[in-house]
Amino acid sequence: MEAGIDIVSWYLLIGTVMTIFGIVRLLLVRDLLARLIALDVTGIGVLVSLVALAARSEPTDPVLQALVITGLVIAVAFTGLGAVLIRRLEGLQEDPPRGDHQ
Amino acid sequence: MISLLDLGLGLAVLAVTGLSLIPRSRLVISMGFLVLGVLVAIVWLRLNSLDVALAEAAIGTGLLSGLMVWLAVRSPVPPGAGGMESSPRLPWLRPVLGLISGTALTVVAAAVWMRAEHQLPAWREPAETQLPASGVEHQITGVLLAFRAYDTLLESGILMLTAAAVLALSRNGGLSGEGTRQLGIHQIDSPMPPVPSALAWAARMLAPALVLLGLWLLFAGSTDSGGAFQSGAVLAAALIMLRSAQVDISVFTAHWLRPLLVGGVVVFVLAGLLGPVLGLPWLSWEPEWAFAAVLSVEVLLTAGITTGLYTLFLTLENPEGVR
Amino acid sequence: MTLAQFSLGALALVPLLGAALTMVLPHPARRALGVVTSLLIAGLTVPVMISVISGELPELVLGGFEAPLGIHLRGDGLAAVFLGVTSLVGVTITGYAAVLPKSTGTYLSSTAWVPGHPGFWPLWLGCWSGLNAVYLSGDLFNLYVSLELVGLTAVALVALGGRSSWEPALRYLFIAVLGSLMFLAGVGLLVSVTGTLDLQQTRGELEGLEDPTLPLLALTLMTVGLAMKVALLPMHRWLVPAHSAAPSAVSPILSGLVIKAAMVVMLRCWLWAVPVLQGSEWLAWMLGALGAAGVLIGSVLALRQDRLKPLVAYSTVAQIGYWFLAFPLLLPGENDAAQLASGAYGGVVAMAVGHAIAKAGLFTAAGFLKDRCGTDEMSALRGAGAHHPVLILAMGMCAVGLLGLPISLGFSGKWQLATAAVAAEHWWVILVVAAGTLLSAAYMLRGIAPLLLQAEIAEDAPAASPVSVRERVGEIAVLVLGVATICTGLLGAGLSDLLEVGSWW
Repeated sequence: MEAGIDIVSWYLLIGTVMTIFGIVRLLLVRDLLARLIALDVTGIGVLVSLVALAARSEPTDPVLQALVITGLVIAVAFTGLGAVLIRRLEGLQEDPPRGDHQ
Repeated sequence: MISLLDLGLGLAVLAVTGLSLIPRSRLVISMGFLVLGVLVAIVWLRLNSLDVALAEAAIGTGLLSGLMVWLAVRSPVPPGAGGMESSPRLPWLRPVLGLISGTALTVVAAAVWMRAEHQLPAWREPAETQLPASGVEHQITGVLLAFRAYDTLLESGILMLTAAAVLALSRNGGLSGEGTRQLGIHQIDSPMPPVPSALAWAARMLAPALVLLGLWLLFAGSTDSGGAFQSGAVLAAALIMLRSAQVDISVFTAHWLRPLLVGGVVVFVLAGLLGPVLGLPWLSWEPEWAFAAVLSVEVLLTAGITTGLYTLFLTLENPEGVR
Repeated sequence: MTLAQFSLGALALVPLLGAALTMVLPHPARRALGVVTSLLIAGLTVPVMISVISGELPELVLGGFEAPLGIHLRGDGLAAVFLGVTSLVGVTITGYAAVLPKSTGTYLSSTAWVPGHPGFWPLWLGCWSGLNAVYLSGDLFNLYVSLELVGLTAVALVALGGRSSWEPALRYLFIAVLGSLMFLAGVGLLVSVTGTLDLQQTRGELEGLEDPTLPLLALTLMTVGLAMKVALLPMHRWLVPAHSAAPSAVSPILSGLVIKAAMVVMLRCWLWAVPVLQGSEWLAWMLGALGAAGVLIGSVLALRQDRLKPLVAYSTVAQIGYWFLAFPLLLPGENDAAQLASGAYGGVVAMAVGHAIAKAGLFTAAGFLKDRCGTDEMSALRGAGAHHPVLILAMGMCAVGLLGLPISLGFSGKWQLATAAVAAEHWWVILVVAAGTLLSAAYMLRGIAPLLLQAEIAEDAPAASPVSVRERVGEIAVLVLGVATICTGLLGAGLSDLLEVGSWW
């Protein structure tokens, strides 16, 4: 445990950096795909921190690992919805609608 | 002290994080994100989380980056005005502001982390003593399908409804077409862009192997690492490969996509209802039939996750009225 | 297991089952199942309400696994109040959408854009499932999952509005997901020092903690994330396009219910999960100041709108401000702290509940007019009221609730807040409430008055098509919400007793 705390702190730090810079980039960039990637980097950063917390105990804590798997699936869900919305929006911009809709 | 391996791995993660955030090219950032997925999976192996590493490799690297790369390849340059342009005056202002605020926040957060009086989770003992009652031997599967089955159920609901959402953005609102009970979206019939024949051949060869791997991950999950999510991601990848290799699976899609999509959630809720019928709380499994319940839920859940993830890819192509 | 305990689980799972089934049914059956499910949910709310009114706290240990390992569902006063209002609004909107399918958005068929989106039913029932799950959850990670369920379905519901709604929907997606990820980061921080995810156990562990820095950082993260989802000024800019571009049956769900889910989680964090921390005063004061700014700026912006739906959306921004005004009062002062905090808390809940009903009614009415006249430009809606007297009456009742005139819940909420502010000698709160009320009277007048004016004589007047029976029934749904706005005011006194059950003090 005493020897393990260092590797835990190291990956906690890395998770924190990923989270924070993901948020910062998300708020500053305008390109939609870059935003979506920044959002995912933020999400993965949070999950890295959670796994680092799970690694504090020996063997690695199963509950926190299960939460991270849940978090990953949620990340795919919002990324998928975001990706389809981006595709539709850019489809609109590539070929603007004729004035006939609605 | 941390080993050199961890030091290097961590720095590589940070470098690739930068690569997937900073560059302006869509291709570069999506590739950066792909590499980030691989590196993070290795980090999780280093932290002794094989299950999470598997999930990251399959879901994170495989599917998430797949989505990003797909988007970047389809439109490498953002269409419309000013997608990537920085503000016309003082172009350096935003990056500098971002860097300063990010660094300041990191310092604050790191200081707090370092000072924290960590406390180990209080659920360690009950997790071990109650595992036999859950019907599975692998702890993580036990957490996902017994101890915190409610979270897993809501989360499979999220995936199902996300699939409903992306279908809703397709032709016919993604549900039955006019005068038919089949799935009415256009992407089923629209051809995929042609791929080199060698690639198509490789995909056809690889798909059965992926299916086998997926099934192994599913049934290994009750005793060993693996489970519904990892398995579903691998099976979805197999479907995506088949479609890219122009194997005709449109009949399967039209008839079975929606039933499989909802089957997992429906059976999960009904299995959860068994508890109240017997006078127990929601989502309780009696030890006698816990294994059967968990296994049937897991199999159908895998089918639901597979189709849910496949739907996300299927609907990426725009219907004609939009383009 | 008692009936109330059964209902706690069923309230989240029955709508989810309904959502799954509506995805595979043909269209008419889908609509019928939606209505049946909504009535079933309302029926399931009753045992929980009865149990809470009789002073009990129904609690369900899912799967029989006790916390910290498992998840507890708790039907306390806060949960019961929001379950009740969600059932009321939910059943009414479901009925409205079933009677007027064109209010559920437009989809692309093989040839054209067609009104009436089939995807509304699974997404709305899924959203309802998430709302109920948020209210009942007693576990921090489960709160995150439930919030994501609400957020993603809400984004998808906005996107049902056709081409023009996709951009607001995507913008909403970024904010909603970022907000919940910040919440999850806060949860991670808390777990590292408490070792548990259960709300009550978290509080117990944190009370024994000497150094408040880490919980303070966690609380800040969660507060900022949730404030994005609630749309507290200055994080409100996503709300107006999203709520006004959404289909007519969706805007009332978003403005009335979805932002309340994030507000409930905010209250759970501040009052249940985290005890009063040294140094959290500045955060509470910050929220109070932003709330005051929200009331004033939101109202002024509402006054400057030319279209009805954006006006109603900006009025939501202003109303959100009121709820945050109370945060400085929730902290213990020098004089009789507990009573003061409970008064301010009761005020916040009363205002939020009153807003849920009144705003749902007003947004439904605005959407009704937009669907009928093809536009929500207020200049084009002149005289539209002459053909819809019932609708105008209902809008007036909802406006009474939003203004906070007696006897609506909005009034008792403002009254409780003002009483607590006087007791704590925070006079500025009274000033902001008074100014906000005057401004809201002005923008409500600006929104409703044109409908009552004599229409200019024009050939293409909106009266051209006769009002159908279905539309008359839709107007009745708005009237139900209008009457409920006034009648729930009579329950104001009972509300504070209800909130006592399972409260944090």
